[in-house]
Amino acid sequence: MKKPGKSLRSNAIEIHPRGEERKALLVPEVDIEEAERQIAELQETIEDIELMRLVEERVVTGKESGTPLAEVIREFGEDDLLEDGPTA
Amino acid sequence: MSAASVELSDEAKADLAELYREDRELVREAFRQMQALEQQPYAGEKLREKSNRKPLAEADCRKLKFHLPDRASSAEPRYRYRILYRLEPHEGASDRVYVIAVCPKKDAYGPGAARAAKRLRELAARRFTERRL
Repeated sequence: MKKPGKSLRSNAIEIHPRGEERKALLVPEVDIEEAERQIAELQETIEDIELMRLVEERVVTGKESGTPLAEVIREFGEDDLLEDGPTA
Repeated sequence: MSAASVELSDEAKADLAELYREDRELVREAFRQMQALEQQPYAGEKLREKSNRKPLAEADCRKLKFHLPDRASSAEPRYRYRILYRLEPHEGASDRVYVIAVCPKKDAYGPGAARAAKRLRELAARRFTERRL
């Protein structure tokens, strides 16, 4: 099977222990991979919504002034990074 | 190759100070990543905001994922930290990289998901109201 189904259950095969209601599902790997891909996509989207909230909290005008990177690096006492980096 | 100046907000500096208490090497790596942004301001991924009617504060934001370079490739999540920044004056003319935050990966489950869902509802309501006005 190369193409994923519409859902995890589309191509799944149910396995019942004899005489019992409970069951297990055999799901093709391609469907698991598609489900994992979709979950990862949703997680990224949710994370980005959270990050947008942070942006809204911190950025008001869009013309905020900041501290140059080199200055911040010096403030943290990590001057050696400036010797090699493009910030030097 | 485009070059941009990188500037940090006060809040981003505070984020770094907090990270510094946790792990100095992590902050050094964040600085290295930001130095790389000077040469490659588009290295981060654009945030996935579906609307094209974004307020200025939300426009052109990107996130750059990072962790210590020697982190195991099997570690989950692979990149635990984010540099959240905005290109200014806008995408396509990135003279300045304005770093808004340096923070751990936001949780996609539990409270994070609940807050995101709430925000989506608020956004939908706001856009509905805007269309009616």
